[in-house]
Amino acid sequence: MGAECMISGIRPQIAQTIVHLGVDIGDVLTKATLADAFAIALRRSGLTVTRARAVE
Amino acid sequence: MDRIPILKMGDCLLVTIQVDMHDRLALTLQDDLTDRIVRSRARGVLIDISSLEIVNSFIGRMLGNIAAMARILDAETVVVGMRPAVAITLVELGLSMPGVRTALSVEKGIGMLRSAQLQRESLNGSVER
Repeated sequence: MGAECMISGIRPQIAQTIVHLGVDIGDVLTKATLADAFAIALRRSGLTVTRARAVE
Repeated sequence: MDRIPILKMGDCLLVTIQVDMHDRLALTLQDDLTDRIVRSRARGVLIDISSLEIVNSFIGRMLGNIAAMARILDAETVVVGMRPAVAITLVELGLSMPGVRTALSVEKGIGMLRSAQLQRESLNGSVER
């Protein structure tokens, strides 16, 4: 369909189950946290998050 | 219940296997390690097997599993300290450990993890923390 996919928020037990079941993730990027995946998605889209005004 | 200790060094986790692994110990290690990788957001796992004189297919499979689980959680695995006799046995038994990289020493292993991490960050971008 033309969209890049990332899987994040994988719990330890889920990672174990995926390996034990022999599921092939293939080229899909996997990250443990949403923060990491979101940072990559931003970068790949050429976007950044900046502060609008200084913190007092 | 015995547990294999997991030490944190920067953003890498160090595991030293010194005792014979039986089923329950191996499963406990997998549980503890995956948990710790997520909690400490580790990017690398170093498994030191320099104390192991014998490695059988069970341990070979366990190391392969750990490497696969770690990769899903975005961490690379390096096995260090493999004894010559163990390397010979693994080859003769045809036990390739897919996805498991090896290094001769802890220092070299950490160097491998760092350069792998730099490579991933240049491809995917890094998180400023």
